[in-house]
Amino acid sequence: MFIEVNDIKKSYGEGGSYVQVLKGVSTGIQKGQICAILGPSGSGKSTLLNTIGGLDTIDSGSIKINDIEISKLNPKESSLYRRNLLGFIFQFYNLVPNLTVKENIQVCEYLTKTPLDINELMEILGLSEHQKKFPSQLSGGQQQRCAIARALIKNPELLLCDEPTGALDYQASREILMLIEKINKKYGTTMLIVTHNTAIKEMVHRVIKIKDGQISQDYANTVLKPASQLEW
Amino acid sequence: MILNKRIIRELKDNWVRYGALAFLIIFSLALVVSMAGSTDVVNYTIDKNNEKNRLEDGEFSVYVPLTENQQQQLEKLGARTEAAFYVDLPGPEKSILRIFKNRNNINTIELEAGRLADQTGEIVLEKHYAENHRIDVGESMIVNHKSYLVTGIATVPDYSNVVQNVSDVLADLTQFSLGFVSEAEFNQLLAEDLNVEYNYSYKLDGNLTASELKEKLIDLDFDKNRVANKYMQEIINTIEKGKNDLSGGVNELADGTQKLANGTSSLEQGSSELAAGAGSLANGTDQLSSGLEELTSANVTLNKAADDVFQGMIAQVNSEFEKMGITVTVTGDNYGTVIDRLIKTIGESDANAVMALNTMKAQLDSYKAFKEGLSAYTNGVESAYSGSLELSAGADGLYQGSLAVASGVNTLRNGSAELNSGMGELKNQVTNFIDQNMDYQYVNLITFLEADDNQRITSCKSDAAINKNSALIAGVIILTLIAYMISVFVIHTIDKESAVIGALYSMGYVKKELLRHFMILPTVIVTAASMLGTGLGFLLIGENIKENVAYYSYPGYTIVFPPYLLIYGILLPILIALFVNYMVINNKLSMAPLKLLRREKKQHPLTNIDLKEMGFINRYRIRQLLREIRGNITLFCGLSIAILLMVFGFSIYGSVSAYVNNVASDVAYNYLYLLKYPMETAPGDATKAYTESLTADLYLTGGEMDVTVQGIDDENPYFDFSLAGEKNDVVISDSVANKFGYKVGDEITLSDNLEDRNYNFRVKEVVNFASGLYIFMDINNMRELFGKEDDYYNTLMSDQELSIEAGRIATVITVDKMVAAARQMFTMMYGLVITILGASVLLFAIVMYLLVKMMIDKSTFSISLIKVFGYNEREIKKLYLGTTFYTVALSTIIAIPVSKMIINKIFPYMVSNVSAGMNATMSPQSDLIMVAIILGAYAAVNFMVGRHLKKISLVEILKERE
Ligand SMILES: Nc1ncnc2c1ncn2[C@@H]1O[C@H](COP(=O)(O)OP(=O)(O)OP(=O)(O)O)[C@@H](O)[C@H]1O
Ligand SMILES: [Mg+2]
Repeated sequence: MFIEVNDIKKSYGEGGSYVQVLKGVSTGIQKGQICAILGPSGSGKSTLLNTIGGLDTIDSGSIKINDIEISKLNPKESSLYRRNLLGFIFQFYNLVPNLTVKENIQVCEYLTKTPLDINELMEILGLSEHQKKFPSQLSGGQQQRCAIARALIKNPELLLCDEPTGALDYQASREILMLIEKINKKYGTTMLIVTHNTAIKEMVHRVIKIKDGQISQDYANTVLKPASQLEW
Repeated sequence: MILNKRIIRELKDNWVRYGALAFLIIFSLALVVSMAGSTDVVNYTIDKNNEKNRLEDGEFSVYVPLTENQQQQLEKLGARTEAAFYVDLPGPEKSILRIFKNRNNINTIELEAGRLADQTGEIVLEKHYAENHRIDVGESMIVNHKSYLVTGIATVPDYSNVVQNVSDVLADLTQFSLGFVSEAEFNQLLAEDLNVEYNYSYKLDGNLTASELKEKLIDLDFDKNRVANKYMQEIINTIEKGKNDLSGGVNELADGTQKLANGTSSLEQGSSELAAGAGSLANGTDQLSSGLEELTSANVTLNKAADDVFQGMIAQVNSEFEKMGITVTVTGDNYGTVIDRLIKTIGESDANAVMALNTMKAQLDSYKAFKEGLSAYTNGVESAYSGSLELSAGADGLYQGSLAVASGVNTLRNGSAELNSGMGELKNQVTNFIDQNMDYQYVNLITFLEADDNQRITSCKSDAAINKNSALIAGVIILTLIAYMISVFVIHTIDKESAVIGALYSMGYVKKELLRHFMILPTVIVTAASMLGTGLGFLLIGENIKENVAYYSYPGYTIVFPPYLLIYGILLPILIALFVNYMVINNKLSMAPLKLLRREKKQHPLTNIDLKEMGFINRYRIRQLLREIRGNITLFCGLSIAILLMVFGFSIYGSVSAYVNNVASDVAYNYLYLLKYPMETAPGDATKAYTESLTADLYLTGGEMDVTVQGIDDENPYFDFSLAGEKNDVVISDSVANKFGYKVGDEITLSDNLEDRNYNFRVKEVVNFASGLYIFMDINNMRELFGKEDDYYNTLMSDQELSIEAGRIATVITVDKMVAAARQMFTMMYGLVITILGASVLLFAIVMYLLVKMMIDKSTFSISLIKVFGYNEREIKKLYLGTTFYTVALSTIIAIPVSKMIINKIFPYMVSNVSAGMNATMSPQSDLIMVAIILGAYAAVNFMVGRHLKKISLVEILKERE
């Protein structure tokens, strides 16, 4: 298994404000697969994704990526793990405001020795004409595409997406999904996609449903529907 | 690194903020560096010049010039001397020029232009004098009716403060200055002018101390008859006469005794040949009579002299007792019983004292015995004389009384032999007494002044020292402010960048890279600003020392770059910026990246306080205040430091101007004459006083400072306080009280360093007297304490100018001069005071602007949000700026009194080198002005930030999330 999650528990707060967000989640995902994480709001999807990405700590259990226990990494090792292995697409893009589109992508290009071709990537994502613009001059979808380009430029082995299409319209969402599909095919990138869009579950290899901090459903699709054919 | 591209943009977008910070740093450092650097430049220039031109270690003046031999002798002992004789001659426009000859080894002339005078009829002028009289090299001028060609413009190290008398408080560079002529010219002047000061400069080679040199000079022989000073000659004559009288009396006595012996021996001869030689008997009695007569005539002088000596010893004993703290008075009659009683009282407890008392008593006893013996002897002489008359008269009844005569003669012979042998003893004793006790050893030395005590040499540097102290204090406050502002700024900036840092961190940027990136901008800004500020500071030095350069006489200055200033000015701010950045970013990056992304902050527990009861606006405001509690504390601290600086500025302004005013108002006389040679009878319209200079320990510097003790009587019209009280009670000026920290009731000790004696006083009262450092006491007590006669005085106070022979006067102090001196000090500090004052106001405004702006920046999102909700500008302003008003008001209320307390504590150190006791005072108006400035700055900042609030767009909220 590329990703092995074993009985992880995670809580926030103390005393009155104590909430257990993850109540013992275990699963495994194979290399090169796209996995969708679905569930109601507040069920703990983002939390799960963030712990896998080493952005958040866990109370107990273990998370292994490529046989490396990432929940035990110190901050420095953790950031090296992210640097070498991960790409992140945040729900709220988090672009650097005073850098242009291209520069925002270059910021992550810098992190690897083997980046993808930046112009090709911008072309694929339809950002070429916007490359000199600042984030504040972009629409939400364009910002999201920029964030995706930034995550992909270093050709990560694992791509973590938190609602990549959450802020986008139907057309834009479908384009992004097609892109994700394309990247996965081309580079064999393993992907975890947190989403509310149930249509997505038809195009991915794995579907994990979370309810109230626990996995309520976990299955693999045998037949995948191309993203271009999704409708919702 | 591509990331660094954002730096320039960040700078562009926030140029006001960065600009304000940079301005703050540049301005503050320019201020600190120029102020501190000025003193260094002055000190460096003076030190260098002193070394180059071999500044004296001291100087002395004598009545009669040293002989070549004596100078060589001194040099062998370790003191090289060079004559620096001078005459004060009238120059143009009623000025006085002090003319020296060129110097060879000590205090050599530093030419600013031209060349030294090497021919007769040539002169080199001191530079400020030449400047003020617009005299250039090559021009000629009249000095004492003689025309001179000016060949050069110069300065000398021993007259950097060009005052005529060492004790003068103020130099007048138009009225008095120096000229240097060739040796030949000077010798011509000496030939025509008798009023020469025989002054010498000396340099010690380390084998001799100054006080040893002084001892040597006191012991040096000289020809009394060559003393030119007529007042000194008068004193010498009086003393010599007294001495001659006494030894003359003794000689007469000896002669008489010799004659008596001769007479007696003739008498004996005569009596043995009684029958044969009645005629020779008659002869003998005649001779005897005349011898005895002569003897009798000397009796009175002799007894009087002996009695004077005895009374002198009694007086000595009394003053000794006083020193020992024993309050008894002995007389010639009672001393035995009194001392015995004392010995009994002291008993075993103090063996030393008993021994001293015994010795004292034995001395008195022996002298008394001698005196009584003398008187018995003179009585004897007297009766012998009357006997001899009878003898002569009874020569007729000679025959009858021949038996009686024979026996009488025998007795007389015995007595006479005894007398004769005793006479030698007496004569020896009297001569010894004269040698030992009446040895008015005439001292050639008039003045002896070490360079360190010579204000012509020291006052320039000590003047600069006040400025330096102020600069350093202001510097410390300003650097604290800068450090603080840089820290706040960095923390704020990094806070704002939180999300970006979080994003980069989660994408795999490592700490080192982020540290490096985020440190570039503040470091570059601080580096550039501190370099600019420090550079500017060095450029401003010339402006700062303008006053100093114009008043003191020293060569053109060279700018120096003291390492400590470079460290303070450049390195320190950079290190602060680096350190704070490192700490803050490091702290940020130790958080989980997710927290950074969410901009999670520790919420203060107060934030959750229940405010249900309040109206919404107030509730919101207080919530905002609590939410921004850190921001408000930051604002409070920043403003407090700025206020401290402002209070400091107002305090030096207030103190110095109060000093100038008080000098004028506290001194009631118009003229004060200190006399070197007081006249027998003082002018009727002047008030007599007695002035001594003593030194007191100054705990502030660990050194000593001169104070003036002035004896005045209760009728003195210029002082309205009473001096009645115990013998050692004194009234001190507030100046002294401030300077030395004395309070009423304190026992204080002052010392006379030349005589190596201490005096104890008790402070009875503190009175207002700003000028100088004065201690007042009853004139009679003071005369007694210093062993002067009952009518001694050396000071005259008067409303009008008195006509006193110039030669008697040591110093004349006029109130105008005192005020002028105080003003001069004020002028010299004025630039600095105004700079500090202005800077403090400006810094205050900038600090307030930066801090308030930062707080608003932090709230941009929520401001945008409530704008969207529909709040109008006025309400928003109330919500977001209303809170700052409370903080500003609170800082004002707290920081002003606290700052005053701090400054009051620091101030005495600042003026510790000034020989006047200033304390930190602020006029009541200053408080109002400060509050006005604070409110004004607040209004200005409010206006500017208000404009900024207006600019916050509604869509801010749509683009970013908090
Ligand atoms: N830092 C935090 N402190 C306290 N509680 C938190 C924190 N982060 C998340 N939670 C809580 O954990 C629970 C799960 O949050 P999470 O963001 O994982 O939900 P989600 O499934 O991603 O929901 P959504 O679909 O709305 O994004 C929520 O109830 C949330 O309130
Ligand atoms: Mg979520």
